Amino acid sequence: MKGLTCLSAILLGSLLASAPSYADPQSDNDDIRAFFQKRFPKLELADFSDGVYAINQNAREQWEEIEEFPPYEDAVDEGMVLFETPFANGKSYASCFPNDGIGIKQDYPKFDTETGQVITIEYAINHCRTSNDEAALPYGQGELAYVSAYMASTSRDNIINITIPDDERALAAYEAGKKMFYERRGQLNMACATCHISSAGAQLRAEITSPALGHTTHFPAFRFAWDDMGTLQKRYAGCNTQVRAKPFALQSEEYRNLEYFHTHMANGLPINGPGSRK
Amino acid sequence: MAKNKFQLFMIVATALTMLTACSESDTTTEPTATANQNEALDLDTLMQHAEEARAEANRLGFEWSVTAPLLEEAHAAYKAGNHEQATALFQEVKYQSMLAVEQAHYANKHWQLLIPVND
Repeated sequence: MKGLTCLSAILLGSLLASAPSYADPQSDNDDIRAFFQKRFPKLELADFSDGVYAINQNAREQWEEIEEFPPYEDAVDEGMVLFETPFANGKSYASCFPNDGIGIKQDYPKFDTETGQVITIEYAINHCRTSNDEAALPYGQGELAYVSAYMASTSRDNIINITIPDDERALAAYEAGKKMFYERRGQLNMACATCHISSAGAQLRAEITSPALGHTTHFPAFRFAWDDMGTLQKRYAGCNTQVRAKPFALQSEEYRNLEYFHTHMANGLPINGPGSRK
Repeated sequence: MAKNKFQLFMIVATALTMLTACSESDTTTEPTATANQNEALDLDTLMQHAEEARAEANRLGFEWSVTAPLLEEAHAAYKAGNHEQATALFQEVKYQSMLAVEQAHYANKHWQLLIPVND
């Protein structure tokens, strides 16, 4: 009997040891904030929404001048028209979203417990289209980015509130995104964290690397490098290519999980998208 | 009689010379053909190994963006019959892919090293 008890204890111990151990997402946020607070002691939490323009005065002054005539304005207008134009079946985007799609960007990405996957706002926009017998739009830029930009504009100043439901799959998706964020990849052997955590604020050639905290608040963004609006995942693909890693498909599971982790990090920050960036 | 002996000597000498020539000729052409066959065989094997290594890097999600263009170049060189260049390029594809696979295994074990530590 005593032997049986010992065996059970050993088996239980082995099971516990082999089970994946997940960090607590709230502790992750606390740790990242503490790190950035120490690195940029003059910044308040909400300042991180401005990205690199919160940490470099010269860049900020240029950006503020650009924002006087926002380069994303036409895209937002076009996005509004697209958003309000009914589908062939008479329904519209509003029929697919809570609160008719107005002022909801702060809740995306969200974990869908029915399908067991992370749903970004762009993914939801296309799902809305295909559910209403419309063709899916190409991800990354163009009309889909315009609709997303309009939806972001209706959510300005709303506080990001990404939730992780009490579902093991949701935590696993968050953890997968976190892992991807910290994994070195590509010929240059760099992780997202290399530039945007370890080297945040450092000069990288002619650029200053932005802190990861707050990245997701201002997308989709008009980037002068693109001369157009683009989504956050288009930027992910660009970053991957810059370190010479083969990018994943836009809205792949990998990028959606990464966006889940990355946006959760920004919980408590205000949405200020769409934004403009160099 | 002397003339006959001389003719016989010349015939034997010529035959020996021809045999030697044939023999030498065999020894020079045979290894070249074998080398070409081996090269083709090695290149096919190398190509297969390069493709397999790249597929594994891709499966792990760690393929480098510079590898696929090299592979295209390698195939183009192979088709054009430039085997020396094709060999060099397939070797590079294989090498890059092996490094990417190594990188994936390393990342899987050590990804937490970049998480900021607050003291």
